[in-house]
Amino acid sequence: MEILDSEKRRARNLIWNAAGDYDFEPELKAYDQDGRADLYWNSIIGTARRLYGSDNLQRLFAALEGHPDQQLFEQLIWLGLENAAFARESACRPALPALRVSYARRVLALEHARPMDQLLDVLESAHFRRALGQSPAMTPGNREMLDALEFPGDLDGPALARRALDFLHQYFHFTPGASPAERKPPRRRFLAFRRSGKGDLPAVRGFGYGYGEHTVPSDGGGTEAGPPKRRITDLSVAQSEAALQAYIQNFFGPSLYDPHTVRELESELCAGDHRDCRLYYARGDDMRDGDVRGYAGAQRRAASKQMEKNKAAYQADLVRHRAGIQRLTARIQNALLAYLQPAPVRAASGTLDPGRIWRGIYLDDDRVFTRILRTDPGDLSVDLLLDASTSQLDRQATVAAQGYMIAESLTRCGIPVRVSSFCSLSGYTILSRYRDYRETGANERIFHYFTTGCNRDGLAIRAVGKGMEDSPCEHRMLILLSDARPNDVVKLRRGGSYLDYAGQEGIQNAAREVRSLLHRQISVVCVFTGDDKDVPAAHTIYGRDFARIRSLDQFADTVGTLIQNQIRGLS
Amino acid sequence: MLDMLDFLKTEGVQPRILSEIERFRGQFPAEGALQRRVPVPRYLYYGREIWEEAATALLCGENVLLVGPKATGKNVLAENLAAAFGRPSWDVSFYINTDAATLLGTDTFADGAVTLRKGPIYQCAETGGFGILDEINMAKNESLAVLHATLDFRRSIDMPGYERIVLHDAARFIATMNYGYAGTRELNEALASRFVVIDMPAIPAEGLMKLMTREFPDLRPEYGTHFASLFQDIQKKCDGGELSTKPLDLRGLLAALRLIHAGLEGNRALELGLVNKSFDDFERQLVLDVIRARLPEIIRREDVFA
Repeated sequence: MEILDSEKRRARNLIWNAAGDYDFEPELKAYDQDGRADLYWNSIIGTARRLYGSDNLQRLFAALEGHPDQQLFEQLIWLGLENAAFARESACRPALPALRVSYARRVLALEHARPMDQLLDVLESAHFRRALGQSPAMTPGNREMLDALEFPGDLDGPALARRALDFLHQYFHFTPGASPAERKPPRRRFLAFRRSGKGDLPAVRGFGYGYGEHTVPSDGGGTEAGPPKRRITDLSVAQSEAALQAYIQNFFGPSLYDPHTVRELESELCAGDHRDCRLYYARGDDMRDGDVRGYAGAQRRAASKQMEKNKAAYQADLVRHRAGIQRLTARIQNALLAYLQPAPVRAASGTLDPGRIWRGIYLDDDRVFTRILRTDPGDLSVDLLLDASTSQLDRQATVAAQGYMIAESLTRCGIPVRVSSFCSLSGYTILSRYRDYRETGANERIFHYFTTGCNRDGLAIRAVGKGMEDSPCEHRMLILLSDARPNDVVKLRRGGSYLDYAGQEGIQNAAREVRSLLHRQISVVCVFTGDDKDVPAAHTIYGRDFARIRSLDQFADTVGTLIQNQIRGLS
Repeated sequence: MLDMLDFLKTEGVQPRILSEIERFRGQFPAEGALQRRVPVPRYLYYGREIWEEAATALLCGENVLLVGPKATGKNVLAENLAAAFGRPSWDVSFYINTDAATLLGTDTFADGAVTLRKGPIYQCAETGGFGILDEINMAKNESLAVLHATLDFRRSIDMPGYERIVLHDAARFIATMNYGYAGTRELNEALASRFVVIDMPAIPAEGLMKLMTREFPDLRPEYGTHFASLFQDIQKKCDGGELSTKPLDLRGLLAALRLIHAGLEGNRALELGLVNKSFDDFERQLVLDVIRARLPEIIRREDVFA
């Protein structure tokens, strides 16, 4: 079952709302059995954080980590926390009693569908029967355990954590920090525990009668990324064209287009300076495919790990990133509203038009003045192209976050945006498409961005320019996140000789492709992500239409100005 | 009719400022047709410090720029100030096409001759009114340049082809602006320097309660608290960047209360007043979630009002 990004964001919002704090990434988000954000549980999770303190809860759940019954313990503790948080909060939030009753009814409705022979089921069902004012039939032992588990509302954070650990110790002989050998066997060994697991638990696992998504701790952002891995850059490794194609497919995932369409695109685009190149259009949505083995499989696993890093780096500076999105959104909206086209109209007041005065006198027509009105400049769509070559290796998390911020801001302004990344490998220029114009809820896929291989900027710009013909809008804009350092193994043919696609040759080629888009009324801007020494190259390729981001704080203003200037020029 | 000075006294505004306002009113009484232009406030602005700052600035002859996000009471304060000073007011809503002609006046054709149709700023200047320049940063800076001489020490309007007029001694300008709104722009230095700037704080829960209780004296205090908390939940979501400011609509909240008072079920009223202000499905869902997590599923009139 897939949990949609929109439901994840909803769950986060419910937790933030109840916690009264928007500056943290929740460690647990709850969903119902259909994967929808659970209104009641997420409110309880946020409330518990506010009432008992994040540190206390973190320490409490950290103490359970690694225990074979971690999942069971977590769910039991959350039942207890629910009882405590509800008791304390229900007076201030009249919605809570109704939400609890409706959740309890759902629990009881679902319990018919599953066997009730497991401890967690028994306790959960009895707890929510009590919430509905019923007296559930239970064994005296279970009743005693449930009484102990239903923590009262008047405890503070540390007292509640102590109470929870005492409960686990009393009924499960759990001692925080004890090794498995030191743990005594549980007193109630005869009972089977629902959904208990060992070792590394999955991030999304059973929670109540739905799912809980736990934050996976990550090991930092892209700036600490490891050294570049070995790359396969020539045909000999893959041995044949078919094997190479299979290798590229394994590496980047299934193709976006059927082979026939790709051949047609190649015959049109891989011409002139790019005649010996090939194209591959990948879906940039998911890199997790356990069946892919070998080097390509290892790369996909690395890409998957990079996605976690990208997300973690974004989350680590969430507030500034969000502020950036908000500011950039306002900038773009301003630009869209502010730079409307002037249209002179005849009016009864304004600037006198002497040639029409006679109409006032002889025809009693008082519209002898001119006024300037502004009209709509027409629709705009944006293509965002991220340079995904190894030269961006140290900046992966930054580029992903910047791409996400731009895409999210444009989406919020209602501008259709398509996001792709490009790199070159073994003669192929690969365009991975993370989201298409209409996929407004898919911006988080941009975090799948990872770098590898070289970059043939000229061909990528040409291919994206071709793709922009699908745009539903009158005006089109291409925003590149690039270090302006084209470099590819397939050489440029010049008469009888071959030149490296690098240095000045590469720069001139990229500049020509940009100019070709400009001639087709596509505005091109670059968010420059490179080093000082490459600034002249960015000048050559993009003219004045590039901006350099030195710090996150000036990101929104700089990119905003860049986009604003382009919108001003729409005609 | 409510006496604004009595209200200011209850708000705790310094007596010295109150007596100065009284002196101003005595010096510049609004007479005849102008009396009709003195606003009668529908809502009151609560906040002693802001009142003291704004009133002192106006007494010193300054123009005031109220800066703040949505739902901070900028327009309510502007209107309240004109009422407290007993001056006629002209509301000018700025927009992208606002130009010199809209503000000062424009040529028009009457009886076979070109005549001046006076704009609101011109009328303010002549009669000593309070000009409320709403969302001043919606207009282009270059079209606002015509106001420079009006707003600074020159206190005059000089329109080509017409007489130069000097501002009436009681004329003041109160501008409002919001950085966050779509369509707004940065105010340039030249214009900003002609105002004293008051940074408007978000309305505290206490202020919201006063506002709602004055509007609906039969509102039950516990529900007043719930609605105030709901509004602050939405405000936090906007501050956190999760929502646009569309659903952060104080007028909408009061309208919803009015609908509940008239008998409409509470959640439906809140949908009309707050939720549907956003035209994005996901955003609407977030606002609904906030409401669902705060208020019961069914809110009847008798639950909310005594």
